[in-house]
Amino acid sequence: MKDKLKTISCLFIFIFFSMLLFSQQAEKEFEIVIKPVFNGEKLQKEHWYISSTGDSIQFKKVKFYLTDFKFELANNTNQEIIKSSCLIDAFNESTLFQDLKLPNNKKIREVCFSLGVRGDLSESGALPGDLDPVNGMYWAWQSGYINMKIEGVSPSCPTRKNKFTFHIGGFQEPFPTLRTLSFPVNNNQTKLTLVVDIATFMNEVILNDNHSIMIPGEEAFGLADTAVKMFSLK
Amino acid sequence: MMKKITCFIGGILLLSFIGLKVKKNIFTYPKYWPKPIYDVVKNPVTEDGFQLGRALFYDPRLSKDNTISCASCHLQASGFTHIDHDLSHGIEGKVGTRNSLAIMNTAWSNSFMWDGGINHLEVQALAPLTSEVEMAETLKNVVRKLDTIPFYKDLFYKAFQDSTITGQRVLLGLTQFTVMLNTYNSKYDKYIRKEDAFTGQEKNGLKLFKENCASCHTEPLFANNEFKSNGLPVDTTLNDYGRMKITQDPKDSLKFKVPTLRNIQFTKPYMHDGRFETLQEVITHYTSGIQHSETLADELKEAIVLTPNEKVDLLVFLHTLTDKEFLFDKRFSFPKELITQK
Repeated sequence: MKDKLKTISCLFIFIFFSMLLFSQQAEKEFEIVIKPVFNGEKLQKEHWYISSTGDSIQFKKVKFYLTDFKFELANNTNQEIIKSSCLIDAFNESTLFQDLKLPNNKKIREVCFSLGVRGDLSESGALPGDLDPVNGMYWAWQSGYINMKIEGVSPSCPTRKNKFTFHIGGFQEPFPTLRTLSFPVNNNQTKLTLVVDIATFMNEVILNDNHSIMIPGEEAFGLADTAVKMFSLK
Repeated sequence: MMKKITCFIGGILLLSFIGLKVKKNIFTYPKYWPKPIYDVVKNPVTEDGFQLGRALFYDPRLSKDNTISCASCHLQASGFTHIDHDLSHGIEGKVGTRNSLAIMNTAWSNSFMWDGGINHLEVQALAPLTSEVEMAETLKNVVRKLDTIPFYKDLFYKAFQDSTITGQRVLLGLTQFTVMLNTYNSKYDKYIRKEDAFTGQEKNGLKLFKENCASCHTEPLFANNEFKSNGLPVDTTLNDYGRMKITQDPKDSLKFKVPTLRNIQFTKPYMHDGRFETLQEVITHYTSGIQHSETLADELKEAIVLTPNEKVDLLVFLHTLTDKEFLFDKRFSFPKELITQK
């Protein structure tokens, strides 16, 4: 009886460690590198840039959420990634490198993610980590995440201290601002460099008329469409 | 025999371990009430979490200049609202645009503030905390301040088994206090539970209430989680159109959250802009002051007719909603430890 128990215990331990070993082998790192630029030039805080509309621009804050990463697989299924909400700060290097776990034995053809935070999370109360309201990306007066903040100054803005403030958010119909993006990848690829060209956004706004948005609605909805255009592969 | 003793001791040790780890959820409510909307399983209310929230609620360091606490506009004796001010005021004497709402039975609300702009109890505190005319602080700075105070490190450790202070934990702690501010021991409640009797006048007041008011101020919470336009003309010094600011839908013009009437005797002044000082004025508004508009609540389109005696009976009934056990419950009062803490 004792021997039998010993054999069963050994078998369990063997299975457990085999599974552990197998699970470790079954994953590889997939790195997403985010490169914030202005017309291809590295984006720097409080550095002067000129938009295609002739506006002189300086940036103080560029932050946005990338969420719900998943890999589209060659067999037309998808693999969701557990690490799903990342707050990217264009001026904080540590946020510009995101490591995802990729299943080693599966062929991938696309990486997908969202720009912004899912609506259900905007209705889930106080959340931790990158979604903690302490990060200043949550509206206090009207619940919901701010998906993207672009703030700075430009002499073209007829505002106090020439400030422009784009806070793009809102999750309710008819003006949800969450946008999804997808980029093709090779099966052997383990790194994706994502260029975020802020000029694409700034070239489409007339700062003299359109310099502040801090509420959800039709305007934010339109600007979310513009924001998506900033993202491309290197 | 030895085996049995070992198992017994092991069992006891395991049970004590579980007992130490799992803290009791102290949130309770009357069995005959509806199920709460707030999920007290996800954020279980423990004694330690409640005491942390209580300290935060009464601590003026949550405001930019350390002068205004949540309790400044939400006093216990007046049902956790601001009395004697039509519009609540914040730091540096700045005046807001609305009358502060009473904090009671919050677990049964699906939205907060007069316009319902806040969709979850846990994030409600962010609004007054960051409003320029209220506490004018940032959550980040609150975390920074609390992080330097050993008293709070201890409280956070007890509440979350971790002394790390985060924005989320500040909000969850505050919620564990505010979600406990439940009132269900008024004379009305005791009458419903057959623990007390109503006078003839109170009974008639209840009958009139059911006929004229209960469609919006629905028992047992005396609110219905809806937004209604109750026929108040716009105060042109404020131009507050209520819910429309949030939904941007003209159909929501002049609609405000239906507030609870519990402890209404002590929550004056009344209405979103605190325009009425007395309950008599409120009753007069509903019987002869309604201003018709496109968004007026259906319930008010037909005039409410009450004789002078009926108005008195209704008023007498409203006073039965006063719960002195709640208003003077020492568990909800200022924690003296805040004065001596380091």
